[in-house]
Amino acid sequence: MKAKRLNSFAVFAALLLAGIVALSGPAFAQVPQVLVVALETDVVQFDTVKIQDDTTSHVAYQIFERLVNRTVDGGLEPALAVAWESDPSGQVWTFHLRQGVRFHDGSPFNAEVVKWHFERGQGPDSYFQSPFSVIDRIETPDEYTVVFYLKEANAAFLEQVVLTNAGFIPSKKAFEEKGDAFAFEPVGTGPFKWDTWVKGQRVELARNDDWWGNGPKLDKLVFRVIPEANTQVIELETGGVHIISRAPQSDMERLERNPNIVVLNLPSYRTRALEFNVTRPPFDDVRVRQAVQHAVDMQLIVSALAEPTVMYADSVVPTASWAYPGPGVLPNYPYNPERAAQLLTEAGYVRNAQGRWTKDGQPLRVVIHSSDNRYFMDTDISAAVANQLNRFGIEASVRVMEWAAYLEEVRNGQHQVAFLGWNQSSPEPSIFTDAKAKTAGRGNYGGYSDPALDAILEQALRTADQEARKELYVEAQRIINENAWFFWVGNESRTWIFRKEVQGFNPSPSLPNTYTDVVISR
Amino acid sequence: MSQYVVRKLLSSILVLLGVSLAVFLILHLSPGDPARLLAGPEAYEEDIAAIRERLGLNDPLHVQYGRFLMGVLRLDLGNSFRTSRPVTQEIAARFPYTVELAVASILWSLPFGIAVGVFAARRPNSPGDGLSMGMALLGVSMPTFWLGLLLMLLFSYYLGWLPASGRGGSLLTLEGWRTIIMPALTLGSPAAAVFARITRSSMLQVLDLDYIRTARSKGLSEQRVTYRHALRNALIPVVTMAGLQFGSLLGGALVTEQVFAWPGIGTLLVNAILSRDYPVVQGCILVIAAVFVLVNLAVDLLYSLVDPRITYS
Repeated sequence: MKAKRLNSFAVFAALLLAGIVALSGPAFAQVPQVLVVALETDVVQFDTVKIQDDTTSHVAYQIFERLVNRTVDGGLEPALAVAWESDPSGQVWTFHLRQGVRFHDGSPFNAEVVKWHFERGQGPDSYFQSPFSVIDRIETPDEYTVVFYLKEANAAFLEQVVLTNAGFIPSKKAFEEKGDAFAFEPVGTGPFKWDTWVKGQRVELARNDDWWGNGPKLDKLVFRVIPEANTQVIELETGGVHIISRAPQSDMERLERNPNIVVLNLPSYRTRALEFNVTRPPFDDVRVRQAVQHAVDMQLIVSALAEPTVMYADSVVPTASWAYPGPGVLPNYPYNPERAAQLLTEAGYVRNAQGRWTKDGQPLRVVIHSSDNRYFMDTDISAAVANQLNRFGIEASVRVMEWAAYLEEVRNGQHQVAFLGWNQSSPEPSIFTDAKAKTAGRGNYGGYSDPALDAILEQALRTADQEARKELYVEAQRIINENAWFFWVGNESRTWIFRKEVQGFNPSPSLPNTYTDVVISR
Repeated sequence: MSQYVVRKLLSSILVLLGVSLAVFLILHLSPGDPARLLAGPEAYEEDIAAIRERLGLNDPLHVQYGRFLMGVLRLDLGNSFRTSRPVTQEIAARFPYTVELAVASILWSLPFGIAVGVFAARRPNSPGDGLSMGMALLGVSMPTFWLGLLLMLLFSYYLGWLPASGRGGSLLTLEGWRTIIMPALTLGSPAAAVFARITRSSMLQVLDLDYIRTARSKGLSEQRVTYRHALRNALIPVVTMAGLQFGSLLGGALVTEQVFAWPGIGTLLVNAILSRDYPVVQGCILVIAAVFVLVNLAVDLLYSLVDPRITYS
């Protein structure tokens, strides 16, 4: 009786096992390739002439394409244009478009769409009217050729117009059919198609089988909104997501030790500096600006607090750019308290009995503006600088503010010196030099103005030859550092943290990531 | 009764008007330019100016507030600066999730808090009382942020029982339940602690009254005295507190939603404040305030159910 019961149990178990194997075999083979990427915030909207935030840009990059793409190593490669050229002056730019490309809604990609899109970029709906205003007119000699006539020569046309978020080209047909709804149901030509958006939770993209390029290999690309850095880390470690965008500094070492996790730091085009306001005392005096730099050991601070995410650098142009001349070439103000004291004395300051620097009986007071975690370790670095200044005899403190209020005060010039960054997705030097240091540049928050520098920057923008441009930009960087407008902190690299089973993920130092080659190994 | 409700509703409108004006003024007086934040720090001045003009931010403040009020009368809260979508749609997409989380939190914290409170009140100054009230103190004082992360470490990281974050779907699905457990525990913990403390002190007061002594002298069982005679009268302050707590759960779910990536109105509001998306901030706070007012009106009406001696005129 007992043997019989055992027998039937064995049969039952064998059947069950066979059933499981039978069921799991084909199912296993068919497990869809779904990659889950964590986002800090939800996407905003996908009218490409209005995309300004990194998150939306990241997702848009999977759906839309530009005429030209930046490669992982900072070069350029064809995208929707197979070839392009400018006339020797750099005023007329011709793009030869890829043929046979269709938008996700089946409508053809051609010169008419490109013309329509870039003209919209100049229109009232666009947040890019200023950069796009360099375009005088656009002509389409045939279905696959587009010619941009600029108002004047511009060697940085690709960077300023084509490679911006507004360079993503949407389907004209879908845009006209959907109207305002297009911003929430985007249609492009990219490797992934819009599928689902559950607001505040996730965006799901499906593979575009008709994409002109190789791949993508994934069936689905899911972006999950996880605002909290600690939560992102737990989700990564428990397999809830494959790739995260941030982790608290305190978790980094543990993550690096985890055999299932890959931590990647790549140099990026993101500069960080304490920027002096030269329109008001005490930093209207170049000697005080230099003295403060000599009084602080910035290299030590950066290496102690922020490496390897932030690597010390000494120029307005990122060290990863072709226009950066290399370390030690540009004038600099390394840690040298004696020199700092000498410069302050020359500027009319005296050290009182308590060791404090004063002028006309008034102590030299410095308030460092810092945002709260907008830039990596910004508050900590500012505090360390203030600490060293105090030890040197300069009364220094840090004013930490929430970003919106901070930006307002700094834009209004209410600061003495502020911790600021400049993020770009390209090594093109002009988008750093012209924005930060040219008279009235859009990122020039310190009232900097030097006619000689402005003239060189103008000339560099009108020069097409890269070697000649580099010489001009090195000269510009030299002048900027001589003026000591910026107390360089470094370049913030980009960090990617992902699970080991994610194969073929080859992120670029400039936003956004591509996922066309990614596969998930099991 | 109906007169009372109408009077209450009318005074609620005044409250909401005051809330909307206060929020409007605080937003516009605090530093931060929505157009600049929208365009990004790397934007050109001309583009920022154009955005400011298009958003109507150059109009005088009273014109902007008037426009907002006129919109509210038409149930139109304006369009989000960031997404250009109607604020009502933005809120409608998120608010149900916050309500869902608040309801789930109150559903466990209220009975649990009352049970602990009764348990403690029945044996005052005993070790059991001390332990219960110690736990309640912990529940009130522990930051939800920290509690949330601890739960996540335990249930997701070490035990692997529950997904760490996100909303798995409707509560009709298993995944929906699995994802709401930790946020509801986190959000409800301080509320449960408050309910336990209030119930205990209210019960202690009632248990000391003459009619309880009478009930006991009649030979009623302690069970019957506690639950039939004492608890019902002791519940009045608990009901009041439940209304207040539910309101603050709606508005205060902010941190919990952020930690658990719960897609409610809290995360919407945080992002709107950080980006100075005035219409969304105004809309969210108005909706939260309106629900708060309505819940408390409902609580007022509930009194008469709990205690028939209370009538409204």
